[in-house]
Amino acid sequence: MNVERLVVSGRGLRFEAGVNDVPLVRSARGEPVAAALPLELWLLPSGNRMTAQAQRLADSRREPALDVSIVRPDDPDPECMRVHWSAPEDLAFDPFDVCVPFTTDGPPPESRAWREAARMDSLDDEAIRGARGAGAALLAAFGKGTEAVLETLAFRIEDEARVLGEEPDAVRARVSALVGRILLRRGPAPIAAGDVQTRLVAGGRAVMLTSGGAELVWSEGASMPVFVSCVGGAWTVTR
Amino acid sequence: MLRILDLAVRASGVRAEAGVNDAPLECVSGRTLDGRFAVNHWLMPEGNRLTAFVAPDDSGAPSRVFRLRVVDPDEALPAPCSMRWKLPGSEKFEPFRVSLPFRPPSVPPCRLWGEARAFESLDDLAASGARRAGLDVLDACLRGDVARTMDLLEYRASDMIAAYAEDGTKHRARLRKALESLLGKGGAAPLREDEVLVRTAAGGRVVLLAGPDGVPLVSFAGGGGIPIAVSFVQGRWVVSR
Repeated sequence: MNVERLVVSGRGLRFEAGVNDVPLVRSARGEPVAAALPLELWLLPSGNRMTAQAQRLADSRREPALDVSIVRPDDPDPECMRVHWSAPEDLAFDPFDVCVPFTTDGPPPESRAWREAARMDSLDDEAIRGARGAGAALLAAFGKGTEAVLETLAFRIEDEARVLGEEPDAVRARVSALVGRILLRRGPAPIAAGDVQTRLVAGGRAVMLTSGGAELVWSEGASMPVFVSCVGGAWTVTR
Repeated sequence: MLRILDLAVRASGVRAEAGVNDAPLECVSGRTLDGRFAVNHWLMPEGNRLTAFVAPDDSGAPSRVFRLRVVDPDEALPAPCSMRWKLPGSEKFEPFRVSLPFRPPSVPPCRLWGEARAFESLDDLAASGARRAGLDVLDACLRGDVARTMDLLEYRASDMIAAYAEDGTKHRARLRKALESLLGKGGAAPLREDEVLVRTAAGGRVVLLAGPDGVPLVSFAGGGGIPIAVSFVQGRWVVSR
């Protein structure tokens, strides 16, 4: 699919970069990172933003640098936006963030999640409970086997297939393989609801679930990012 | 004249302010701008940021462009930070801000950063003091009193001389000549205290003053004006930038 891409390179600082507050590329300890990612799953119908957060690492021996851009597919000047930043290694800088709007070359791929999910300005207690509940249901499904997990991920699989223009079975097979790898390594550790962190992303349409700074579903060597949304009054995994 | 860093700005199809440490060195609206601006007088000993505010305008430009860099004046060194941004002119977008930290290769010996009080926020008393200091300048300009205006601008003049390693006598002579020309035309618009807009910059050390709609505090009917910013230095408000 011919869509906008996020192109990121960074080193010597803690950062995350992505779109619509979804951290698609991260560096936790200043290790050099370079990535180019297609954005179809994260493009909203409107109001898209390139987002990044950066923070100094006190013990970094590298000159910090971060370069984030959105590259359009069919534009003669394809780099429609770019933020470049670098500093001497001993610059004590305060954390900074980047939040710059962009538009897509054509209409973004049709996504049921972004069309139907409730949009929230902030997360109240009820929303946090609902989001954590959806995460807990996914973790519980891992205890019941692959089919149970795939059933819990049915909305996500169907929506990703639509957005990517793939057959649902193809997406299902890919997710199934990932679930298998996670289960092979003893499966994700159980997490108490209170240990699940929530963060509103995708223009208020999704909640990213993490635990201890890591992805919610994590097993040695394999992990699955989890985003949940309130669709038609029920919380479900959407990405 | 010593130039440590330049701010390079290119903009069209947007309403934008670009500057350093929240001080808008250049504002653009409804026109195309491609310029470079000296920033020495806004470089602080630490905590420097390249800052901008960008919003849509309705100029009908074919594309919306905003590019911003802090650069070595000779372009001999790579830009420590920059941004480039572009949208088709027909696209709407929400206004956004940019704030990127940077360290200049050197910092000029301005007094202001060591002497000015840094306000976390402006209370009514501070805001009123800042406004009245600005209105003193406006009053002197309205009366065409060049000598009084020069007196009120002396702190700023001495700091600008330090910032750009200029000859003090020549700088003040140039300032006097410019004031004589501006004030001789007349037509500066009087303002009430409650019409003066205030906002802080440079980590709260400077209060930017403006008239209604953000025009320079001292604005002349025939166009042009004198931007005024003040600081609280050693117990009194002075014109600092």
